[in-house]
Amino acid sequence: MALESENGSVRRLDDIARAIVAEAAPKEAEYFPAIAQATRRNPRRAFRGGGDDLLGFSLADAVTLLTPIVLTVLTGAATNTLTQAVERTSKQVSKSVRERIFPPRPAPIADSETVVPVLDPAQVKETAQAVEEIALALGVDKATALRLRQATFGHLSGER
Amino acid sequence: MTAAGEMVSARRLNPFTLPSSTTSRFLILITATVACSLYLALFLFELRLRVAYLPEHVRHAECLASLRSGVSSVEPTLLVDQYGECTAGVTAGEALLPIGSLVVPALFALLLYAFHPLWAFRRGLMALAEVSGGEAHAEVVRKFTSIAEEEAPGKNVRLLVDPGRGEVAGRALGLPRRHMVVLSMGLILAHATTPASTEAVLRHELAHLRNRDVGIAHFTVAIWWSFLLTACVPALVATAIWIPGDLLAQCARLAVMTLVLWLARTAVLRAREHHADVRAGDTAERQEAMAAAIETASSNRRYPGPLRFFSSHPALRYRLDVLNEPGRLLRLDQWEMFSAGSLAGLGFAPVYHSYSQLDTEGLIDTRFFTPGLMFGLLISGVLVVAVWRASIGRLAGHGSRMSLWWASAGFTVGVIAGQYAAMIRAEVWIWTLAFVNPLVGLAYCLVLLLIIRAFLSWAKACSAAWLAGSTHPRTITLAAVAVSAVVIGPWLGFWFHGIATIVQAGVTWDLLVVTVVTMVRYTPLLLTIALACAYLVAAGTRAGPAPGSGLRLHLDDAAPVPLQRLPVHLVRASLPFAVACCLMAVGGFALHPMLTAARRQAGTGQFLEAVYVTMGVAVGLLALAALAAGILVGGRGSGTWAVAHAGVMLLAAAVPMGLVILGHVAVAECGWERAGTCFAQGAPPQVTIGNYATLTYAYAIYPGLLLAGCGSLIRARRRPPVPEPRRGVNRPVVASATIVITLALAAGVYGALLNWRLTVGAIPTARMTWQRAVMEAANQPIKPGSIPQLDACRHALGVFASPGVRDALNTDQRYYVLAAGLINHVASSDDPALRAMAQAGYIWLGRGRADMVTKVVTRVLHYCVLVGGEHQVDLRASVDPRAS
Repeated sequence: MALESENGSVRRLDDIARAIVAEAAPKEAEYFPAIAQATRRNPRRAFRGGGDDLLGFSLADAVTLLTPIVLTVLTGAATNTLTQAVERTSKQVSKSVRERIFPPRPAPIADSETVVPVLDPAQVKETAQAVEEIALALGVDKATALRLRQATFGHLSGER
Repeated sequence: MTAAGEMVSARRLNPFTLPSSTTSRFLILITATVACSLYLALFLFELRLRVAYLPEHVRHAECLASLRSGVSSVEPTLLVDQYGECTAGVTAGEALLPIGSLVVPALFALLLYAFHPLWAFRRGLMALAEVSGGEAHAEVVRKFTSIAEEEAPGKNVRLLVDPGRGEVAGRALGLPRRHMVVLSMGLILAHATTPASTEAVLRHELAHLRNRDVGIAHFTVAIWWSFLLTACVPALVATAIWIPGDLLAQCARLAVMTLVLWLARTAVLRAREHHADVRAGDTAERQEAMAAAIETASSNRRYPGPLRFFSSHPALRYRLDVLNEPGRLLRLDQWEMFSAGSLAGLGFAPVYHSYSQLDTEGLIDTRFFTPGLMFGLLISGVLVVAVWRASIGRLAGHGSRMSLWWASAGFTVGVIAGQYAAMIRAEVWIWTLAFVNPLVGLAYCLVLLLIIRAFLSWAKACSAAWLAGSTHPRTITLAAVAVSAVVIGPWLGFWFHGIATIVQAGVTWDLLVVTVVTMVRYTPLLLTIALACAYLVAAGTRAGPAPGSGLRLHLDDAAPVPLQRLPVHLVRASLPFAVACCLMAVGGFALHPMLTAARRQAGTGQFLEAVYVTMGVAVGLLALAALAAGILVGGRGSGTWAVAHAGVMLLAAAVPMGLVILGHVAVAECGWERAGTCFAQGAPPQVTIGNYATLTYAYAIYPGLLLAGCGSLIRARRRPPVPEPRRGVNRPVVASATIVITLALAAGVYGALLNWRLTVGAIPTARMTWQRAVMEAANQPIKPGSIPQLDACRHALGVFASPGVRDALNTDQRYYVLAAGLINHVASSDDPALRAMAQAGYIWLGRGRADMVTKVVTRVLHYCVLVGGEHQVDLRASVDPRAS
């Protein structure tokens, strides 16, 4: 896998992720650095809801953050561990009692400076599908998930 | 005194007029948790003694050992004091060890509390303004900052963001003066699409800060975890290792404790959520936004069905009901009472036990007074505040939904249930009574029910009197809590102390009656009645409120409601008592021949009898004065008011009446010439007068209050000045009123007769024969070595089981017979220390020193509990090396 794109520039993980998020959820992109930092600090929390917080108040209509999804999948793509990343993330969002009591280790998020190699079309397609799959599993609406898939495909394939 | 207005029912009551009772519930929860830790620490201490068989408290008490072995060298009259010095180290050590072992959980809890913000920061929280530099975010920051300043002015709240959390959520936390609200990234993002709901969440969290929930809620959770980790786990491990046979029972007991504490915790937290909802929705517009937010709250579906009790958030239906009708937060809730009672029951016995061990001088009063005051303050914070809050609805014209009987029953049942989980010692356990004689146990529980019921009635009357026209209702409520603690604390303490008395001596009906009569005639408890009356009447002596002022009884920016103050009638009420004192001063001369004749029969007790007759006449006059005061002050709906006036005036009249009685006695005894010199009969005048005044007050208080109530009822029967439209005769009401009035009058007459019998009727049969019985008992020969040591103690304690119901009316004289019997029993013991104490007892009995006799008896009981109770150790091992 080549590390440089056709125009010779090096593609860093956070740059691509930010661009994808900006296309799929422009408002969230404004907060990308903060969300990315928090996701790297504790990836598990990005995919699991909070509990019965003391003196807390949470609404059922949660906003599913796209940044952790994109970062997780891109990390898998960059480190050639996409299958494991998807598998682990699926377990994270699983509602089974076993997974809730003994949550599996979350897929790690690569450093922001990690270079995303140039992927072949099949890999790009697979990555975009993985993003959509996880987004849907987390409760993202179909339209946004599709937008996210298209954005991922576009940015990884070099169309954008 | 009610607020007018037909439209009031449509307005929302303001639950923030008075402080919430939940703060006290938190405090009582903390105390109960600490007490449970103390219970487990005591268990571990006992287990260590049992397992290691190290009678450490004996080893540390060489003085006690020498007292047991070489008592012949100790002067008997000094023995009781030496015993006190000996046991100081033993009992203090026994008490301080478990108390000291509380330091670890306390420190652990403090650490957990102090570091809880760090736990939150571990998640990478960021300041709201620093999360992003975008223009849209700047608008969010501006909006949220303005809401924070509006909802929590002067609190300097930090708004933080949890960037990794996608839920639309908020949370309040932090240490004092460093409070913060943590908003999730989801909430920040959702603000653009649903600003009303997200702002409602923020307002809700700020309401928690404004309601001062944060510190106490987090500390309660910290101490609960501390209890679990530093008390429950070690106790379970120790049980599993050393007494595995008890593991199941121990697990069950700990499970009950933990469950009670957890459920109490979540109940209080749910109440705080309701308050935060109402605070955040205090205007019509915000109420709507808050309702919309509540309808979509994630907690609605997290704990379905009965599991809701384990959640710190209320169910959707209740949240909306309370938001739309905040008056629900003002209602008396028997579950709240039950919760407070169970925590008090859970916590009292360990605290009482430790304090009584620490109190080496054996002063019974302080033994139950101090824990009683402590728990009195805690339960007053719950019960009194709850009753005062319930009065808000009545004052606002929404009607009264107070069921004081249910509330009292809830509290009483709670105490009994709470006690079940923490059996620290059988003698301070109400269930011991229930197991030995269920009816006696039930009757004693009914005594508590009646005490609490009377207390709540008084609190209700105080709320109406004090809140009317007050400009600082929160301060007044807190002051009322402090006064209430002094009123109810001693009663609560004495009630627990009574359990110990009955259990130690024998669970019999006779002893139950003796204990109850001792309770109701006990001077400090009588003074709490006087305090209660005085506090109620004092409400009417305040200056009237400024025009236009009043209580903010409703939300939605409603105007304050002016309330009418109850007028005080101290002068009107004092007149009959002044007349009674004057009548006694003049009419007392008629009793002089009797007093003089009795004086001549020296040594027969007739003079004392004549003094009691004189006092009885005075008491009768005071009772009639109380009846008249009730008629003058009382009326429709003013029964409690009249009774309070009578109570105050009785106390005020007792001093001049005591002076008058003493004057007549002195003149009759010594003649006019020497009356001045023998006025005080050798004691300081203030002591003698105080003694007479206290006795007079003690005899007059109950019939006096009863008759004052009757007087008020008599006045209430008068036709009101403005004729009411005739709506036909309500036969059930008329019949009920007739029965009540008849019963009240009959009770008044019976009370007066009983008082007369107490003061006069009982005396001729006594004839001072107690002296002979005491001396006969004291002079019986000692039978050395005839009774084993522990049997001696059992007999000594069993002596107190002998009194009959009649002795309840004659406790002063009977006490010395009992004391002599006890001393005689322990004189037969093979224990040298007990024999030595018996010698000391004989000497003080012979000298007629009641105080020292009491001291000896107390020390004997203490000694018996120390060596023969659950802390039983082989004392001989420390005295005689061969025995070990």
